[in-house]
Amino acid sequence: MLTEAFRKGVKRIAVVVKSNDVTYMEKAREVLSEFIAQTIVIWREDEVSNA
Amino acid sequence: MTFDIVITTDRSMMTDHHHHEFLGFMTTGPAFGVPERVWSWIAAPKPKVDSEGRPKVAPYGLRKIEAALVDAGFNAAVVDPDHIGKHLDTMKVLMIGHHDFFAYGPPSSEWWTITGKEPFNRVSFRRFMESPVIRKAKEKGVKIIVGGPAAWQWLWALDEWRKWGVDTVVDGEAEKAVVALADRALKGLPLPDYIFVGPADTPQNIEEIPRIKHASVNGLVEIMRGCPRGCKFCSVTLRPWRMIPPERVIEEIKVNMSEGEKGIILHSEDVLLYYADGIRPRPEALLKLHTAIRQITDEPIGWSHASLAAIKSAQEQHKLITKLTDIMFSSEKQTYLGVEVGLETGSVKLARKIMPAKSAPYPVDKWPEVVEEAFSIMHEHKVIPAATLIAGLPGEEPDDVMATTELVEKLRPYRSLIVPMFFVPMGAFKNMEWFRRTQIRPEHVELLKATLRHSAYWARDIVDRFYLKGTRYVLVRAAIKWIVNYIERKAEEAARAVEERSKA
Repeated sequence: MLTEAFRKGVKRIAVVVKSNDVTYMEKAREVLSEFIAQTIVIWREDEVSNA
Repeated sequence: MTFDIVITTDRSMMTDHHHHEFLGFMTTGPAFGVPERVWSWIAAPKPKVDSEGRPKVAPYGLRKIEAALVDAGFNAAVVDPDHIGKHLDTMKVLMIGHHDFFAYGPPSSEWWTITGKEPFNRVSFRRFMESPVIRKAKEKGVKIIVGGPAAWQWLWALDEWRKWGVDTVVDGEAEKAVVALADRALKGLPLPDYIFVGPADTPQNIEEIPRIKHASVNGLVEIMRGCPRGCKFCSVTLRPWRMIPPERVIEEIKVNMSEGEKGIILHSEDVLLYYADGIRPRPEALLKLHTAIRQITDEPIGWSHASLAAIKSAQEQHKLITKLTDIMFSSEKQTYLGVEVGLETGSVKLARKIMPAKSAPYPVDKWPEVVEEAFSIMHEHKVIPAATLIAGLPGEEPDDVMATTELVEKLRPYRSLIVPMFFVPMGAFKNMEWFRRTQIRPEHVELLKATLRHSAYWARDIVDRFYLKGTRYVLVRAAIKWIVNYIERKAEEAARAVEERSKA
């Protein structure tokens, strides 16, 4: 899904994760370690529901 | 006086390095040869602070964040890490910046690899984050937001992220992002875990880049953001290329001078590409800026970085190194110019793979000649480079390393420091001893020995004749010479150990 968004040339991407802990970053870090041209904001689901 | 938002960092960053930026390199290594307290005193002396704990000088990046928040109407200030306790009962947000939180970046990772000991900056940052005052702040509900050039390292430090209660990591140019984050934090709204700031959310023009409100470490001021070289391995090229006009640079220098900071370091990915025509230097703005600085102060001017190709091109096309050093050395207080340059490799084969644009406007197969000619130009003009090279890159072959060693030996006549940086894959940090035993090969040892011979030879000359002159620095000078001798001895021992291992 992220790759699709990158291909479409979006400027900003919000990612909502279900994990209640930052360990999900183990999966995300390969993407985030690349040089990417979009703003990416990662929220946890409980944070979004409180926002 | 109280602050809603306190901005800080640990001791390895909150220091003026005795007004000598190159001493800052010592914070990236472990204390060796002397006790850690002595190492800390040499590399990271404490700055003077006011009654609120605000330091007389602070890293430029922290000053920019402070300026962005103050301009947006927030009650924010940079505070020295030893004085956070004064604001424990009142601060609501703690922002922490760093250029190498966990020593995963070069050259910290390299010293860690070679010595097997955790670098000083890593130890210092951990000590700060685990100090009672930070724990107390967390207990009181203070939001912790971290960022800076090393923000990416948190992706590989999830245990610490969780353990220390970091609320948000901000990666990228953060002047705009922190304003929105600060607003949410102070309103008690939830914060995101992570923000990667893409080009669309970086300041697009200079009016969106705030002017610093207080003095920066050693008078560092930025003159340019971004870089036009387009190297595939560098994220800076994705951002807009922006120039800070000479008048704006002078304004920030005056802020520093008004607070007693006499130093001036012009910061850019490549100072000689200030208002350049792509990768071809143009003299007008550079001459205007340096002349304007000389008109207001006779203090030495430093450059943060320059590329070797630009040095050669600027001199060949415009005699620009001669003209700029003539302006700088018109003051009796300035007898040399220090700058960091990237040598990276002596192998044309490897250069073609990893940095085809680095030698532009010259062809990449001329890279070793470009390096040597640029070193010659710098030597002639009393420009002293601290050059970095990269060893251990994926795809590197023994002949690539040997080509780099040959180039380092050719550079012996030119006054300079050459620092090898080991490419250390992230996984290696979990088993550093394995990495040290298996990945440092005999040809790397030859390269390390060549750079050490070069740098030890010139370090003594530079310390005596240029860098730390006068009785004021007699103790620092003596300590550095002692450390150089100690490193030489230890490096020989380490080289013998690797050689014996490879024979076994």
